[in-house]
Amino acid sequence: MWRGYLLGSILFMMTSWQGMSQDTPNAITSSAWTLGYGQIHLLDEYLSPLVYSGSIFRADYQSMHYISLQTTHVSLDWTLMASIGMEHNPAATNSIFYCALQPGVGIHYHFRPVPHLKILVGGVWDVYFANKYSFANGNNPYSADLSTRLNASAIAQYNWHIGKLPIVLRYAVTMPMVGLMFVPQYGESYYEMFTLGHMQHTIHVTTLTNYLAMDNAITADFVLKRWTIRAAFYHDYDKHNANSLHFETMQSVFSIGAVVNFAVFDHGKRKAPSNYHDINR
Amino acid sequence: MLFSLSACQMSVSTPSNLNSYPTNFNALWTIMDQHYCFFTTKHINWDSIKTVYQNRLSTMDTLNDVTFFNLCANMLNELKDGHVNLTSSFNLSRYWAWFQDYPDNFSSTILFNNRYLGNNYRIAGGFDYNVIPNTNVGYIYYPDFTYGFSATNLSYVIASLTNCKGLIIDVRNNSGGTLTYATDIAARFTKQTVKYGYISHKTGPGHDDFSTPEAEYITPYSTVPVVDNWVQKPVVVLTNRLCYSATNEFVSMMKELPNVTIIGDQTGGGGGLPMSSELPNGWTVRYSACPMFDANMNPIEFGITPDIHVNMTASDMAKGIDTIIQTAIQFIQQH
Repeated sequence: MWRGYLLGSILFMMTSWQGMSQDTPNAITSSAWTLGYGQIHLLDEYLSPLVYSGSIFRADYQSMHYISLQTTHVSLDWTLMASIGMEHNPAATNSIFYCALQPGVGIHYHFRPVPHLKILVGGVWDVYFANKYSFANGNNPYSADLSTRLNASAIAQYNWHIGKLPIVLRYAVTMPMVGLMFVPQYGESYYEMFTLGHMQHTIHVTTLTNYLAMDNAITADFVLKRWTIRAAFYHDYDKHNANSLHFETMQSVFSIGAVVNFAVFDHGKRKAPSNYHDINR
Repeated sequence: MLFSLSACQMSVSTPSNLNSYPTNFNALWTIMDQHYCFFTTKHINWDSIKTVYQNRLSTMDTLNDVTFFNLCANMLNELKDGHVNLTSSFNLSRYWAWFQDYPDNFSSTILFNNRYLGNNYRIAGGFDYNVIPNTNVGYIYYPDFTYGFSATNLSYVIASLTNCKGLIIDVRNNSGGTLTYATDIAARFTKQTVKYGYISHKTGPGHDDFSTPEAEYITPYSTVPVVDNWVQKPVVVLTNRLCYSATNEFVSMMKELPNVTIIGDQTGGGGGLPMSSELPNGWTVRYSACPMFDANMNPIEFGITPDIHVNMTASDMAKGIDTIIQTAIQFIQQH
């Protein structure tokens, strides 16, 4: 079942990318790719009562463009986070393999209260799918965090410079408000769930009372002549409870990557006009 | 921003002294208290057991990892459960009285002599099989439910014995393994979906927090002619006290099929699907988590009673005769 979900998510992202390119031929799209390395701490009471810690590799993709040429206030955003890591128990006698995928799409309204500063406020719909495999456990070696959330999102962006080097500083925070999540029953085995098909009480509505999460991102884009380099710090926190089980994940990752701004004007038939809307301003 | 980052910290921390004996004792007791599934079924007062062993811990003359491990192992053995183990880097605790207190009712020396399997038996996917010499009875020995097999393996085994008058499936000394192998084998002996039992699980930390038991079914593999034969002809499953866990479940499901007879000794039990957890010092603990029942909602934790109870006799064994196999051969030839 999870394989189908993963494949569906990837196909969804691919088809959405094509649609974006065709529907908005005259808009600037700002895309960023980053790769990073950091620390993760996780607690999964289905697998163990102990907090596991370890290192993690993470890749992020973000793109943003205005919904139409008629506005410089509303943007459409696509995000994808993928991470993989290995965590160890405090006594270093067991490990949990961790990998996660988190695609999302959102809309933001752009406020410009003072020169050089932009405040973006909006919402993001995403899917969070994390797989955890404990090497020591018998009939409960695997646990999955699977949820879909509607998030509140805010971004503060400040255009600054050091000497003649333009820098775009950005802080983004995303917090789920409501959604759905999968949580196994307290002592239910995956054999019962997926071999026998006993799935009762495994899908829960999420609110701030049972699902508290916050994704923070601090980025600095250094605009060079031909390149824009992005340095980023991601700090994601996720805590949820259901069926008397408690789950918690915290990851802090330093990343570096590139930002590419591109546009297609009349499907490439003429040169770029001077008055196009730059999403970064 | 700083407030947001600082607020997003882990709310649960690991105990500061990972190797503290009281900390690990309490962790072990709590894991079992909240997850073990047979306290009520076995009439165990876990609180009083804690009191007894906590007192022993506080008054031990020599306290080190080995003596602490032994104390924890003794506390766990109060549960009388073969699915309960404590694993450290230097030892594995276990409760084996469920078979050690009973007759073996099995001899591999006798089984592999020329009267039964001999030297020329076939092996396919964990199955040792042959036609028993001087009879028209097919014989399959499956010693371990961790030995994997394919559907093709099983089809070849059954097809090669299809002209026999009856079939013996010997699962003695098979102490369990993968549950799905049990249903894969049983599916070859029915043309209809058959309810064979129920399974439940804990829904919270209370001793009686259980889900409503859900029925489990044997689904027929197919309706090819080979299967038809084994629906019509007698099938005998041989058991002893070492039949445990997935093997116990296999015997429970085969007992629901109309042409199947269980012959031998009572099975050892192990009717709680085990799961695992761990202590702060890194020792792992396994425990029965999901109680399983037969088709009449009787727990199978204490074993399955055979249809025909037979023990191997010393006089037969001295002659190289397996009393239980001989009983099965006679049963098949009379039906």
